[in-house]
Amino acid sequence: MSQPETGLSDVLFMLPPDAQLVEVGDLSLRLQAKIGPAPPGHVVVSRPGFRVTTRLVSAELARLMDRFREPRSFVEAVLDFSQAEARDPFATLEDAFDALATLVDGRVLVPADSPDAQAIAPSLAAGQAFGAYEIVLLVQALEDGEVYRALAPDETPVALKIARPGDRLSFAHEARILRQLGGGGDSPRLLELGEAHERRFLAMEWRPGAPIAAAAQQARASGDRRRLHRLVSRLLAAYGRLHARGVVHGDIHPGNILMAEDGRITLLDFGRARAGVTGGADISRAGIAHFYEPEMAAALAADRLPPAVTPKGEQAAVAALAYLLLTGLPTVDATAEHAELLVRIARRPPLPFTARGIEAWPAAEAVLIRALAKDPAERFTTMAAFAEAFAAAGPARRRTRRPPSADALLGAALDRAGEVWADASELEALRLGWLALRAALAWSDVDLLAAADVWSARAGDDWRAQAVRAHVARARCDRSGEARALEAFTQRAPPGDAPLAVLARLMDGAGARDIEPTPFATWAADRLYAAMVAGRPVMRDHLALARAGLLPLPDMLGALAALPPGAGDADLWALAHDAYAEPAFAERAAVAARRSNDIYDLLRVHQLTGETDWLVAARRQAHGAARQAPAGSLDLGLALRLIELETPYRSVRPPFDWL
Amino acid sequence: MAGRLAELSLRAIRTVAALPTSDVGLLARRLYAYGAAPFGHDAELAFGPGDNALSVLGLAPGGAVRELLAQYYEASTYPGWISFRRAGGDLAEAPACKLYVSPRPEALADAFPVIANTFASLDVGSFKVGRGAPGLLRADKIVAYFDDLDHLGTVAMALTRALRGAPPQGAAFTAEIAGDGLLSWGRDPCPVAGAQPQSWRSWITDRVAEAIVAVRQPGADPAPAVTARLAEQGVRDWVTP
Repeated sequence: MSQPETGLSDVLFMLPPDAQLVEVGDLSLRLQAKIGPAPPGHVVVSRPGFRVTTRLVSAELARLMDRFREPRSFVEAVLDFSQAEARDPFATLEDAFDALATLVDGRVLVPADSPDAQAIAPSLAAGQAFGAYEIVLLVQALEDGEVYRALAPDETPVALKIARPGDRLSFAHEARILRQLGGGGDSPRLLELGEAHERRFLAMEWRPGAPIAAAAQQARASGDRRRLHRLVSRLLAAYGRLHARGVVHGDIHPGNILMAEDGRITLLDFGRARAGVTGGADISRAGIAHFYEPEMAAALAADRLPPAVTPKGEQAAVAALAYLLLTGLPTVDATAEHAELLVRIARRPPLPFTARGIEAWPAAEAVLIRALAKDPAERFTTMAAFAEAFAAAGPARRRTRRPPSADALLGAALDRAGEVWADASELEALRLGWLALRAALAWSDVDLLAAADVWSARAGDDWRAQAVRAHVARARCDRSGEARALEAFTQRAPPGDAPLAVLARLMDGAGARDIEPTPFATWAADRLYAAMVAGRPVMRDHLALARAGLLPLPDMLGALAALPPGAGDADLWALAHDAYAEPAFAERAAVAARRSNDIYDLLRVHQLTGETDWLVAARRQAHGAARQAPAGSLDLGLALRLIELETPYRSVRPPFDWL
Repeated sequence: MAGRLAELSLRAIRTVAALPTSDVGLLARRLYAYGAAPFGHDAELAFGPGDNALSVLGLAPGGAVRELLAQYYEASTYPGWISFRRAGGDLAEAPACKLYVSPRPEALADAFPVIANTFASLDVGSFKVGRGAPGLLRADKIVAYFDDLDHLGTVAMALTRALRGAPPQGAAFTAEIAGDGLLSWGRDPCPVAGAQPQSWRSWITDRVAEAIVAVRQPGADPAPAVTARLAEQGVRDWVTP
């Protein structure tokens, strides 16, 4: 990374007035869940309107940054801080220098006399004249400029991109690229490059449409893979045409692509675009980390200058965007630690859709994997070839009808007029509650959800009943009911480790549902510690709790690798692979699943790898058992297995000794 | 009583009556919520956190539905709802009747633009849409308000044609319009002096819960006795007496 461009004692830096320093514990539970476990006191730094990734810093660095609320030199701030905290100022400066330099690079700490030091606010009001244009509304305010919808003198709508007062931004480069592209296709037509009120501006044709992520979300919410395939195909084709004209965009993210109602794509913001072949490094590159190509992530992770954008690099970036549009999620698990995220993008393969709880789409996934290859030479030769391969992959066929075997078993189990409904014991009610819940989720069935509610209410009051009740309340969007059941679960859980894995499952994504995780994390940590002291194995529970975001990820890579062949079951190795993405762990999960031939193990490995062979094996096993079951018999375990096979990509083993 | 919603309402009574509690408030809340689609991983991904769900409805910035509604309506957000009120409209403070439009969650992306367009073109004065994933999974996710039943009927007829083929979810304890549960209507009870005004579904589910506690017998189907008791109070076909 570059060093601060000027001296330590003669340049005054400051935190802009709109920079926010918020302790992780004060963030909404949803954001805390997104960030994952963070050391106590860590602080999130962000600026509204900034495209740079929000940063997570230690409490100490945050206190040092706070010294820059007023203009200070590095030396002044470090001296103040060291005096207040009784530290050695030289050691402090040495420790903090790299972090401060990174904040200067990221324009979080800015020279006090620069325009960046002002808070971001719209500079023009609706109805105000700007040159020959009339401002209608602010579309976007960023650190370096503003985008307005405006009216031209003939009242046609235009997009006005205006530099902030005093900003050196010229837009000449962007105008040149837009001129080269000529408009009318996938990019807006350039109308004028000019200056008014001492501010440079770019006037472009107004293109209707919403961000492509919104269109993709509509398609995903409809469960319509045909529409999703069409949408992504159009996106790739647009980039194929762009590259064919010798231009690379250089700023891939969902906000830079609009999709109109008729499916027409518009690529926006060519400020970082490059025309012609480029090579070497490019210090000006920026963007959103999830859309960095692996070689850029690798360079930044190694503290090297980022490479200039290339067509092959952009192919990977567009593939990462396509993955996001198809699944709603990034290619690798997000982490708040920027450096760790870069390493993941640089090294880890994209997660199979099944590992994200999304139905496999093997043909499309294979195309994306190639476009996202870590070695550019392994990617498609051109963006057009990538687009063509994706278009040929076609939408996946989806099965929507319930299989008669599962339906018959479920019908018998949940028949209100039947014997089970009238005479079920608490244990049977517990089983039926779980069965009905899983079926309700598999088929999005409102009556089965209500049946799950009734059965879980009739299942007594022990910890297992509370666990099922919490799961049912979650499915009913009953936040207070879920919180009550979770609290009762921890109060009634028996001594020992068995409840830990159950709690991990219950707390999965709890932050997004505004459930305060701290008491449960403390409860789990105490139990885990007791188990460790007693010498009981804790690897699986520890990994499960880390996966749920309750505890930090343990450093047990070496301990796992040292386990002898044959040790551990499929679940342990799957959790280990989730945590560390070590291919050897996936292989050990596969070996364990082959050995056990347990349907839940087979499905877990299907989720881990995305490979359909595992699903075929699981189906063969369950349907064989269904054929052999005596006519009229009611096997709840079999019914559950058949239901889990309906949505194998998010099947789960029952949360405790279910039968 | 016939039709899909009547059957759904009877299933709601039978299922909720099986809960091992005589807490009328709890039973009423379960009846009120009956018919909400389950919130699982699919719904979580489909609708996303918080107001991300606006994208599904076409209400994200730049979305076509947002642009359309902005021409006619002023929007207000509440914890569970987004309300739209016709700009400059003079809808009565207590509308005479309400229309429930209940497509299944997976149909919303296609159905909501049609519904919004119909409301805008047929001069609907006010309507509300459930907010976030929980709001869009509930059965009564879209409710439009009318000053007279004729206007409601006109809009319902237009929607019946425009939404043909949309999979219905169905709001229990409301009066069926087209037989498939997609459209239904209700009329809030007259406010009682000194009491909080109650919506129709809140009022009726309170009465059903009281009836369940009063009449259910072990091993017997509670639905006939509950509906008979409601009939004594003047409730037929899930319409306010």
